[in-house]
Amino acid sequence: MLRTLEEFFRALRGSGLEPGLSECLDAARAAGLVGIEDRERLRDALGSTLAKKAADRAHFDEVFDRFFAFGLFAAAGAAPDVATVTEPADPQQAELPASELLRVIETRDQASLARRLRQAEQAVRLDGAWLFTQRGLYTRRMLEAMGTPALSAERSELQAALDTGRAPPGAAQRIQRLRRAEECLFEEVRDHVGRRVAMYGGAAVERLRDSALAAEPLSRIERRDFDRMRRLVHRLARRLAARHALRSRRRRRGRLDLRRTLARNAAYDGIPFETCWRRRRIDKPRLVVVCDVSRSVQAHARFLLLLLYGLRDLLPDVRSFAFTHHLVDVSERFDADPPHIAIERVLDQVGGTGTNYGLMLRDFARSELPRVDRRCAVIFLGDARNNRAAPETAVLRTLYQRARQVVWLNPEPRSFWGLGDSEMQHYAPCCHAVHECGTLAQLERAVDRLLHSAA
Amino acid sequence: MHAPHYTAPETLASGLAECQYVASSRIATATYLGLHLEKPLLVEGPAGVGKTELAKALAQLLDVPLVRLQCYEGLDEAKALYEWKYSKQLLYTQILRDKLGELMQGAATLVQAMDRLHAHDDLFYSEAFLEPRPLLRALREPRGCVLLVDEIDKADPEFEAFLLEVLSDYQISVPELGTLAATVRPLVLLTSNGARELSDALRRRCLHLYIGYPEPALERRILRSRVPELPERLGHRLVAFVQALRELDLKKLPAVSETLDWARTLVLLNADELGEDLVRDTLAALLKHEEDVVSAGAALPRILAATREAGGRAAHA
Repeated sequence: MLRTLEEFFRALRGSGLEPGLSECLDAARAAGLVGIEDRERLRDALGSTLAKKAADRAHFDEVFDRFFAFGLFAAAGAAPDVATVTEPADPQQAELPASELLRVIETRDQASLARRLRQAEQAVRLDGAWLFTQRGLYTRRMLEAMGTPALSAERSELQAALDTGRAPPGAAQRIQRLRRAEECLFEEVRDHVGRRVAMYGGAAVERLRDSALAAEPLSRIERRDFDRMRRLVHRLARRLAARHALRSRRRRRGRLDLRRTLARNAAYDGIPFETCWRRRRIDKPRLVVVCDVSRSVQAHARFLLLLLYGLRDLLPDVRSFAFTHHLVDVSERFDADPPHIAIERVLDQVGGTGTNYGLMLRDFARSELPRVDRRCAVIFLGDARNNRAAPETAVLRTLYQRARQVVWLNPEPRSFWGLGDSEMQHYAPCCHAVHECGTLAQLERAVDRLLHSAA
Repeated sequence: MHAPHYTAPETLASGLAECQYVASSRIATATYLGLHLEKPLLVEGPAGVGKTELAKALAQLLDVPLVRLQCYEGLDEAKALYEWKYSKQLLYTQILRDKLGELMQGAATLVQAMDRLHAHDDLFYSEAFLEPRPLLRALREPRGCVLLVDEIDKADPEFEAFLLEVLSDYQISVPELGTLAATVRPLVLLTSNGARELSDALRRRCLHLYIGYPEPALERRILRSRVPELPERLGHRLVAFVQALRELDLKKLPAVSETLDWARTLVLLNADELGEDLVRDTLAALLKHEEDVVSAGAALPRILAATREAGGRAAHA
C-alpha cells in the first residue's frame, strides 16, 4: 500500500502538483484512517491532504482517476470468448512456463494482468522514466520482466520442432496463440508505459519548455505558445511580488519615538501610559507605463502589460497608455476586462503602423506631465523608431527632472540602437535607466531593478 | 481534540445531521480527518454555502465552546492573541507604592534594594495581567474547543505568517511568561472566500476542503433539515429553480443560505405553489444585486416552465 502511495505521489509530482513531505505523510495517515475499500472516500481523503487549492483539486482528481484506472484490454475488445481459447486441457501444456501468462491474456483476466504490470513496473523502476523518448526502452524492459521471453522461447522451440517434423499434435495452433498473445501483451504494455511516462514526466517536460521559452525572443513567440507564456508571466509576477512584499514589510516596522512619548505623558507624571511609535511611511510609487503598440513591438507590449498587471498587488496605482501616434489612456479598459482580453482589444484598436514618438511625447506633455511628481515612475516601452519625425527630446528631459524615475525598455538588441530611424541615442541620456528587454528573462531583470529602486 | 465516538466519516455525518448540518461525504471525510490527524481545516468556497455553519455544528456536536476570530485588514497579534493590561499594571504600581516603600526599608545599599525588587517583578507579568484574545482563549480552553478563524483572506499576509506558528505547534510564546501550550488541542477551521491568494505555507499546514454549491439532492436534504415546514413538492421545485438560477450569468449566484432564506419567506407567505408573480415579488430574498434581479426577471418564465416539469417528475416519483 505504501509503495503504491509513493508512486502515486511521484505521479502527482510528475503532473505538476508539488505535495511536500509532510503532506505526503498526512496523506498516508489519512489513507490508513479511512481505508482503501471505498474509492470515493479514499479520493476525498487523499484530495484534502494533497490538493490545497480548488483548482488543484480538479487536477488531482484527474491524476487519481488515471493512476487508479484499470482500463486494460480496452483495445482488444471487452468480451473474451473463453470457449474458443480454452482448448481441451492438456496436462503437458499446463506445465509449460508460459502457460499461466498465456491464460491471463487469453481470458482477458484484468486483475491478474494489472497485478503483473504493477510488479514489472516496480521491477524496472518505471517511475524513473520521464522523457517520451524512453518509452521504447521501458516497454522492452517491462515485457522482459513480465515473461514474454518464455512465450517466444516456447514459440521458437515449437517452430523448430515443426520444421524437423517432430512436433506434438496442435503445435501450429499453439504457435498461433502464442504469437497473438505476444502481440496483445506488447500493445497493453506499450500503452501502459505511454500513460505512465506521460504521468511521471509531464511536469519535467513542461519545465524544459518553460525555460526554453523564457530565453526565446519575445517577438518570435508563436500564437500557440501564448497561453504557456501567459502562465509564465503570471508566475513571474507572483515571484517578483512576493520578493518585494517582504522588503516593504520590513520597512514598515516602527521604533519607539522616545521624544514624543515623553512629551505626551508629561501629564501623567512622566509615567509612560501612552506610547508613540515612529512609523516610516512607505509611499507606494505611482507607475505610469507608456507602451508602443505598433506592429513591430506588439509582442513585447503584450507581455509587459501582462506583467505589470500581475504586479498590481504591489503597485496599486498603475496607469497605462498605449500609442502608435497619439497617446491613448487604456487604464480603465484593464479594470473592466481580464487583462489578456483587454490587451488584445487595445492592440486591435490602438495598434497600427507609422509610429510617431514625437507626437506621443507632445500629448504626454499636455495631459500627464502636470501630474508627474517625485513619487512617480515612468516606463516607456518601444524601439524608439520615430520614422524621422521630430523626436521632442525636450519633453523627456523635463520628465527626467521631475519624476522619480524614467526607464526605457527597448526590445531591440543594444547594437541596433541609434541605427536608421532609431532615436535611442537622443532619448537614452534623458532616462535614469535603459534596458534591453528582448526576452522574458531580460524583462524580469529590468522589472526587478525597477522595483528595487521604486520601493 | 478527542472525538472517540466518531470512528468513521459516516458516524460523523449522522452526528452533524442531528445538529441540523447536512454534510456531503466530502465534507464528512475532510472533517473526520481534521479531527483525527489534529490538523487545521482550510475551508474554501463561495459565500453562503455553510462554511461558518460547519464550525458551529461541529462545536455543538462535540459539545465544546466555539471560539471565533473574525479577520479583517489590520488585525494584529495584540487583538488576536493576548495583550498586557497596561493600565492595570500601572494602577497597581501606583497603589502599591507604599507597600513597595515598606519593602525597600532596611535595604542598606542600592544593589540590595534592586535585588529585593527583582524578587517581586514577576508579579506584574503574571497571568492576572494578561488579557487573552481569541487565539489564547482557544488554547486555554480546558475541554478543548472549535476555533473558527473566519475569512482569513481578509487579514494581512503578516498575520497569516504569524498564525502559522500557532497552527503548527498549538502553542504560543509570551516573552515574559514563556511558552503556553494548548491544554487540549482545539479543532481549527479557517474559512476563506478567496479575496486574496493565501500563502503556500499556510495551505501546506492545513487540510483542504472546498465546499461548492450543492447538488440538487443534497440541497433538498439541507432544505428538509433546516425548513421542515416547507411542503415537500414545493421544496423540489424551489431547489430546481435555484439550481437553474445558478446556470445564469449573475454577479452573485444564490448560495444555500439564500435558498433557505427564500424557503422561509415562502413559508411565511403560506405559499404552496411557485407562481410567477410570487417569485417576482420575493426574488429579492434570493438575489442581492439589482442587475441580477433584472436579468433573472427576464429569464423567469423559461426557468419556471422548466422547473414545473422537474416538480411534476418529483411528484410522480
